[in-house]
Amino acid sequence: MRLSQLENGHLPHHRVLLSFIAWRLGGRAPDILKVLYYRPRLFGRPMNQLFKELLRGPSEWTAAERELIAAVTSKLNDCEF
Amino acid sequence: MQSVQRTQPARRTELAGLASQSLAARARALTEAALGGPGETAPELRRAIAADAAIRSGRDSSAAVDEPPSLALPVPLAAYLDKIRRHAYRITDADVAALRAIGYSEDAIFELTLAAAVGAGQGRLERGLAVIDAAASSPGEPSPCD
Repeated sequence: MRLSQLENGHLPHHRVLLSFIAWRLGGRAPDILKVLYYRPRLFGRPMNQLFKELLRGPSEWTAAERELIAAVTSKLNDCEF
Repeated sequence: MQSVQRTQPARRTELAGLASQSLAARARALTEAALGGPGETAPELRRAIAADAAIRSGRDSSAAVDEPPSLALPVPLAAYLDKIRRHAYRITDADVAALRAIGYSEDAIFELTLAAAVGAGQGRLERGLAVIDAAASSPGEPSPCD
């Protein structure tokens, strides 16, 4: 993570949540969550709403197919999924 | 993973319409928040950066009503935003340090990064949808996407 604010600039309750997630995963919280929980009104909250609609909302594609499309796209973009 | 039953063809069009309406609304909400929400950087700057990234990422600028805004950005910032748009995974600590060195705060960098990323995403989405539209309106034609 390039910005230190994304490591330790979160609000206290989000910091607790991220610590819990890191503990459950046995290491560190995924970078995507650190981004989504930083200033969530600006980005994380509306982005999450869009994710939900896109991946779980009504569609002729199954949730699994949509996740697969996202995974392949991330791979093509050299992004961690 | 849950198993979802395929919907019947007759129901598909209606469903697709509903889904895309809701998707479009949520995509607009995201854009509005990221580009227009309160922050250290001016919404006008964020909008201009997003529009520039969208056009460079596939948006059809000939369809735009307004002339694309011309951006006069400091060189390190323009280079950083271009990197975000094209291949964000190549960003290094040195790229961020270069922006800090010319006075950008971490929050400002965060906001401008989002603006470029959201704009690039929009441009790619529009390009993809245009390809689908073109293919749907002329089924016999070769795909404009090569």
